[in-house]
This record gives sequence, C-alpha cells and structure tokens, in this order.
Amino acid sequence: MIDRVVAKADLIRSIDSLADKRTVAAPVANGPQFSFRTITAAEEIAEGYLPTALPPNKYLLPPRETLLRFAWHEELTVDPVIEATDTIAFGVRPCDLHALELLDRIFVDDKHDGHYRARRERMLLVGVECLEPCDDHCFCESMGTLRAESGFDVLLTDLEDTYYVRVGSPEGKEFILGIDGVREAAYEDRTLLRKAHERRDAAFTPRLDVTFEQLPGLLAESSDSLLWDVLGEKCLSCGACTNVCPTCYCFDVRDDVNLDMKSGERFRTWDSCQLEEFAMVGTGESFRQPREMRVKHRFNRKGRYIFERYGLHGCVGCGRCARSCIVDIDPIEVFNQLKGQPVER
Amino acid sequence: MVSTHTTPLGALKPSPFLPDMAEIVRKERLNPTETLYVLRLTGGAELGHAPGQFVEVSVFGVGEAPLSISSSPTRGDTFELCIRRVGDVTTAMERLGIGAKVGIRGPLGRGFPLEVMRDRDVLIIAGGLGIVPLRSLIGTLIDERSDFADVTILYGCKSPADMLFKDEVEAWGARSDIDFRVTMDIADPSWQGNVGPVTTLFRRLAVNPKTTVPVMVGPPVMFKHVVKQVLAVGIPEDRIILSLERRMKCGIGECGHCQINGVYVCEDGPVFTYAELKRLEEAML
Repeated sequence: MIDRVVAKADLIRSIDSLADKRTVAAPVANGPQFSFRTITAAEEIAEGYLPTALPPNKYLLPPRETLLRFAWHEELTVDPVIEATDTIAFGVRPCDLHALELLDRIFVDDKHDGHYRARRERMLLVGVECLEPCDDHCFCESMGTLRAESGFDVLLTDLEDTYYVRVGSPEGKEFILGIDGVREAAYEDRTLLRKAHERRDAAFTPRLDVTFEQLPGLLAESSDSLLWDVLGEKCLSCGACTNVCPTCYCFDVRDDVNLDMKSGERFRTWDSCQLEEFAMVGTGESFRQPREMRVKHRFNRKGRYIFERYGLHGCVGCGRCARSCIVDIDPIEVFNQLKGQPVER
Repeated sequence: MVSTHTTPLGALKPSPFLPDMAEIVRKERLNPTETLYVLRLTGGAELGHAPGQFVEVSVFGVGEAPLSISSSPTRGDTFELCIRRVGDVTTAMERLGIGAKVGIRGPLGRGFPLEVMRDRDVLIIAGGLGIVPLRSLIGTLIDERSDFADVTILYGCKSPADMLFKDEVEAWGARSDIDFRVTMDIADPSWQGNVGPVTTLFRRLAVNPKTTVPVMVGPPVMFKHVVKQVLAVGIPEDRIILSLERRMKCGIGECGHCQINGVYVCEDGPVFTYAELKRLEEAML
C-alpha cells in the first residue's frame, strides 16, 4: 500500500471530528503517568513517550466483561452478551501492537472467542513508532518488538510537523484517506523517515544478554536456579505485574445475581497467577502454592510457554511490570541474572 | 494420543461460554458428601462424549464447575455426574430437584485413548474420587468387552464408608471377565477384604509389560507411588495413562487456571501419558 504523509494539525482536526462519532481511545497524561482514555478532543492526547500504565488491551478484554445474562421468569433464559462499539485506539506503541497480535492469535484464531472478536473487529489500531527509549525499564529492542511490520491499521512516525503514515489494512487506508490534506509520501518524506529510523536505531541498544529466541531455552535450563527462591522471598504476590502486562489475559469467571433476584449475569474478570488461590481446586489443594513457583510460572509464561505454544512473544519488553513492582523485580535483571548464573543447586 | 475434542466451542456458538441446557432426571445420594446426578440435554441429543472427558456445569447465579463425566457413552441419551459437595456450585447442585435445569458446556478436553487400549490388557487403578471418571471407561470396557484383552481394576478407598457405586462394585467383582480388586486404607469391623494402599494390590498382580496399558486416576500421592510401580515392571512411559485434576475454569484454554507449566489441562488433557508429563514439575508426579 502507498505510504502517505499528513500534517499533524490536519490529523488533530480529523480526530476531533471523529471523537463525536466513535470512541477514540488515546494516551492521556494522568499525573506522572499516562493512561489510555476515551477522549472528546485531540488536545487531550499526550505526546509523551512513557508507556501508559495499562496497555490498550482493556478495550478488548475489559477488567469486567459480561458474557451471559440469565433470567428466571416463566422459565430460565440464558443469552450471550456480545458488546462492541466502533473504537479507534490512537497512539498504540509497537510493543503493544505486538501484544495485541498475540491476543488476536489466541482469542480470534485459536479460540474463536466471540466476545473478544466482536470488539477487535470494530477496533481501528493507529500505531505510533517509538523513536527514543522510554526509560530504563524498557527492553523492546532485545525482544524484537521495537519495530512493527504488521498488526496495525495505520502506523505513524513523528516527523516533527507531519506524520509519515504506513497503511496496514483497507480500514486503515479508508481512515487515512478520510483526512483532509493527506498526500502521498514523496522521496523527501522517505528520506526523513529513513533518518528518523537511523536516529532510533542508534538510540536503542539491547538490554538483555540473550536474544528472545534464546529465552525459552534459558528458562528451561533455569528451572532449578536459586534465583527463583530469592525472587519468591522478595515478591509480595500483589499481582500488579500481571494487571499491567499487555500479554497477560488470564481471567476468572463468576456469576452475579441482580437485586430483583430474578436475573443475573456471568462475567469474566481479570485474575492473576501470582495470587495463591489461582491454582486451587475444589478440594482445597493449591497446585502452585509456594511464591517462588508462582514467580517462576510468570517468567516462564512470558519468556517460554507462550512462545512455545503460539510462536509469538509472551513478553514484549514494555517494562510495565518493572515500573509497577513495589519491590523492584525487573525482567531485565531476572533474565540477565539467569544468563549469568545458570543452573545451580 | 488422539485428541477427542477438535472444534473449539467458540466456532460452534456466538459465545464459547454459552451452555446447553440439561435437566436432572434422577438423583441418588451415594454418601454423605457424594451424589450421582443423571442428566439429559434439552432436546434429547446425546452428549457425544468420550470416556475421560469433562463438562462445565452451570448453576445460574452461582457459577460453573468442571466435572468429569462418570457414565459410559455407550449408555444412551442420559449422562451421569458424580459430585462431591465441596464448593459453591456443587453445594447449589444439592438443592436442585428432579426436573431442574442446569447448564452444560462440553464435552471438553481429551479423553482416555481407547485406540491404545484395544486388543491390549487394560489395568485400571482408581484412588478415591478417581473412580468417578474411570467409571465411564469401565462402562465402555464392559459394553465393548471383546475389543480388549484382560481387564483388571484396582480400587483403593479411604474406608468402606467412602466406597462409591457399591452395587456396581459388587457387580464388577462378580464378573468372570474382569479381575476386580478393592482395598481400604483404613478398615472397619465390617470389612473383610484387603487393607492398605492401592499399591499393595498392584504388588500381587502378574503384569505383562508388553501388553498392558495402565490407566490411573487418583490423588497426587497415589500417582507418585503407582507410576513408580508400573515403570518398575517395564511398561513404557508413553503407554502409562493418567488423568489430572486442576481448576479448569473456562474449559477452553483461555483463563490459565489449570495450567501445568506450559500445558493446559482443559485443552491438552485432562488425560495424558506419563511421557508427556514427566518433565513438567508442576504435574507433581
């Protein structure tokens, strides 16, 4: 598809008018952090580089999502609830685009989950390239997620007054051609893009002592590492890391009865493998009771299990878990320490 | 091993969480804590399960619980669940009477590999509630008896009062084409039979490692000891069959609760070979 260029002012005007008709979710400054919020005007959008506290996943897998509604009137009726609105997710970083590709692979391709699919089909992803590292916690360069070649409808690169636009889908093309003043990219624009990429490539350096392809093997070898015991001692099992993770999607399924006592709903709600009850069965046995087992499980999911099962990254190097951890457990340190001190005991 | 559940529920329905409805047609209390439920799908269709598969049972307003199917698919248009009252859903089930409706999703997961057992000796080892899923296999073995060579069943219970399916157990014991043996961890004055763990029964068997397929379901501690025994007589790791209990919340490989290392018990199991599990430390074998 033909690359385009759009003036920032034109894009902003377009978003202002779209925000009246559709849900536009974009990063908004929220104290010292940033959050994806539904905006009403483009001026609310923050141009900061720190990743949002929560990834945009919340628009696809809401913290609480109704799955079924049931009612007891003449007879018991049970109906599925498929809810979706037209949504533009604006300003999605490449790490998060990679994470959404994983969720699509699981919830759409593999499980045919109608709830997720309905939301996903009505979401337009407008990505924005990262040109400089966000902070010390980010390691996307090591995870191979700094660059996005797919998984977006439109991908923007900031060229100061304009955005260079790559189009990833027919929906993306329609979106970008709907903006007044958009033009085809010329030789000079491509030169500016190349220079921006060169500056980016110089600014990002690998943070891990292993490549992401080596992580599954490293983790498999490190099953007996003493590091898990150390991390188990340190970890508070609060579950913050899994709540902010763009590739965490585990959930609990529960029922609520309405106050009329004649109707209710079944919903899914975010859950965390870091909580002790997560792997508990009806008879009371917990199959992952020690904290070190739970910490190890999380890192293995991120670096190994998901990659082995789906061939896609289970960790995209966004650094959110490290930023949110009260006791400073950082995957960069964990993976590098495993690399530095393999199997012992 | 062959997967018995290939089409994802989501491909069949608008929501993979939308259950079919079923009616309780009979209820029989087996014990103070265990009740047998006989269910029929609304519309009368057969469940279409394989022995060893499970269903997610809904009591609307309370929740869903994964329960193994206890009846053989050879037994007509009803199916049976034997339920121990331990959680919200199983407790709520007890309050439901004949004719009450529950939701059923499934059959789910991978069942016992009958194709591996055909023309071979089948050695069933049940510990406690492990008899519940194994009863679906035992029913199939009996109904298709000529497809299999020798059938041996070892059943270990905590005490005579904990024994499930007493009438059927008696009938299995009376059959000449099945070698059925039962043992109690703790005897009471009424008990005349073997006392000790199920491993004590195994020790007295003459097992042919070339032709035997051991199939075991029980608590983690039983797996540890029995797996050791069957390996010691020379049965290959990929012919040792086990079914595991985990918290299968969604039943479709999404929610993560039943994961053992990288394996989803609901989707990849609950039936596995020992070869598939032995490197998974979270399998606790």
